[in-house]
Amino acid sequence: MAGLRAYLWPLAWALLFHAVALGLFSANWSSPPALRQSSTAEPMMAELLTLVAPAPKAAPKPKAKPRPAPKAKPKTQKKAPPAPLAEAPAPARPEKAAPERNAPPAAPEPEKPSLQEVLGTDFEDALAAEASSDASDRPEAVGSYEADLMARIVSQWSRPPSARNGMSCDLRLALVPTGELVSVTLVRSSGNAAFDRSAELAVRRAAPFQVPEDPAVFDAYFRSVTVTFSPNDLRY
Amino acid sequence: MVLVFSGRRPLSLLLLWIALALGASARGELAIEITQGVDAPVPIAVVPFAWQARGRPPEDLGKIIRFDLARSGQFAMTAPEDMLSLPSRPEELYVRDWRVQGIAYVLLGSVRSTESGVEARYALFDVFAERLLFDETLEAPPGQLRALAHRISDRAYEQLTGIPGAFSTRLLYVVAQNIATEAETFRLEMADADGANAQTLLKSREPILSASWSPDGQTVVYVSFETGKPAIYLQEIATGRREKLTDFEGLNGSPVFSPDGKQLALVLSAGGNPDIFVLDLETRKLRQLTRHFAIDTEPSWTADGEAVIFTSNRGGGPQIYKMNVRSRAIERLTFVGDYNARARMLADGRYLIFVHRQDGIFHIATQDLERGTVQILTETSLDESPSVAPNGSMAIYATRSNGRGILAVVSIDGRVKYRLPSTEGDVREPAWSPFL
Repeated sequence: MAGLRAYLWPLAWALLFHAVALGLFSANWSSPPALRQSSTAEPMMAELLTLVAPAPKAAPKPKAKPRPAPKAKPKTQKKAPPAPLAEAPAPARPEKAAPERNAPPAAPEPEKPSLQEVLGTDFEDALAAEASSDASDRPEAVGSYEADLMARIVSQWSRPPSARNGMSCDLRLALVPTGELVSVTLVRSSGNAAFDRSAELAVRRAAPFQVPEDPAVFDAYFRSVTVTFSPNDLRY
Repeated sequence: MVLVFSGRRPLSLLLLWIALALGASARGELAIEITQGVDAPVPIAVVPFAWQARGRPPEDLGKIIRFDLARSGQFAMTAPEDMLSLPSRPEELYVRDWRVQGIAYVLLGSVRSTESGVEARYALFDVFAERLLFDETLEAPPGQLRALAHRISDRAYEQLTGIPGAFSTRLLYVVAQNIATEAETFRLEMADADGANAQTLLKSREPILSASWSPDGQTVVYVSFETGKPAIYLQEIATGRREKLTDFEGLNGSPVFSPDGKQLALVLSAGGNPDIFVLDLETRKLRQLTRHFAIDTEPSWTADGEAVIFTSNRGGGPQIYKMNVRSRAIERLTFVGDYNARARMLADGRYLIFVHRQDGIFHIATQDLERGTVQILTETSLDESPSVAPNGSMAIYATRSNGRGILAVVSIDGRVKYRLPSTEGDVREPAWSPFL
């Protein structure tokens, strides 16, 4: 319980920071983004909560010492939001975070802890890492592979004439490290079988995909990918 | 998902936001949202059907289906000579043969003789998912191979697009020959939706106009000048039995069945100038709908039968109006341009299709009644008489080419266009049948 209490401040800081950042962001976000992102803003909150939930398990562990990181973090991040990030934000922050954390710097990517590491360490570390390095957990390269995957699917997607703006279905793609598609599962139907099939066909025709070579990164991001198909460029 | 943000907000903040958002979901899998597509025609192969019936095949089923599906504009057809194998049963299909060519769907089948005629077995296979979408049989009398092919096209089209196919429907149109000569003749004709199997329903030395279908597809109404003045006739297609409905003084024009088939909206000018009337086909009672000194003409019904839309010049130029048949509440529908006429409402009640003049040229256009936006569908000029297919995907209209009247088809979204094979003479006033 005592260990748990020790989390209160870092946690409070983390929540406060997220709230501030979200506020800043939404205040500045004037026009709708070119691509709608359904899965970003809200899941962020959800993720925090799930991280909080398992705390009791972690609490008994005696080695819950790496407080410095969480303490340092609010400062780092408070500085972060303004301007200096403009150029290369990702490398900048982790450099500060890495030494503070007890995790050994990962050899291939010294600038950030590999995801597996983060996942493998116990909960405090995960929380600290999560809180201190927020996005830097996500290797930069993921974005470009993701963009490639998306572009390939877009270029293969022919909507049937019965498709309408506002229809939406989710497919779960299972990939293997060579980028081949092992299976496509319809996890949420649009209610229009022809629409669902057009999405599935787009994915199957787009495969195989370019995926990161790093197995850890692949496992974390590309082994299973959920794609939502919700057209907004149709005439109707 | 992090890709194409356009905007003027500070990059740093943007990156931070992305970082936050992604950091939070870092432990989960990727979630991507796709909001755009290319809508290119989907590659499909229709394998020549195996003929296992008696005699030689009088029609090439595969070819008829290929033409049907190609005309829809939704599919890119593979020519039979490019096919690596010619399976006629799903069991004979090797996925790899089709996959290497990027073909998404394969339709195949065979025809065999039965006691009463022929039976087709046909199947549609999803190549990339390696899944059989259907495997069915259909019987037909001996002379009905084309109809059989159209039915198979309908089935495949609906499976792949989510919209019922309209390949088994028919067209009505008028052919005029030797116009302005001694030998001038007019024929009311009916043909399959692909232009084949044309049959003459009426032949006359005087003009025939405004033919349209009853909702059950068994009867047609039209205006004929055979007595020297316009009169409206009803004709049963199967028997040829005819009945004269109206021949009042002046105009008797533009008859159209109500969606329930019990009434006819039409134009009469017995009162002095053209107005819209409704004729009850059971009681034969006539009711005047519009009463205005302007010209009211070209009526048609909304899909629910609640209202009649028509062309009127009561506002100056011709525009489209809608009148509720019970309350007679009237509403003007078109405002873009100074000439809008001959409107039909699509079944969804949201779109209007009509003749629209822009820069002195008559085009077929649609108007989104919710947003008011007008889209011109055709690049031809002197377009007239649009008539919508019962599945709402296409409209047929009359236009001119090389000084001759011809029929052309355009998809409601304007993407797909084709002309019907022209017969001799001037072809005009097409009417697309309901589902038959």
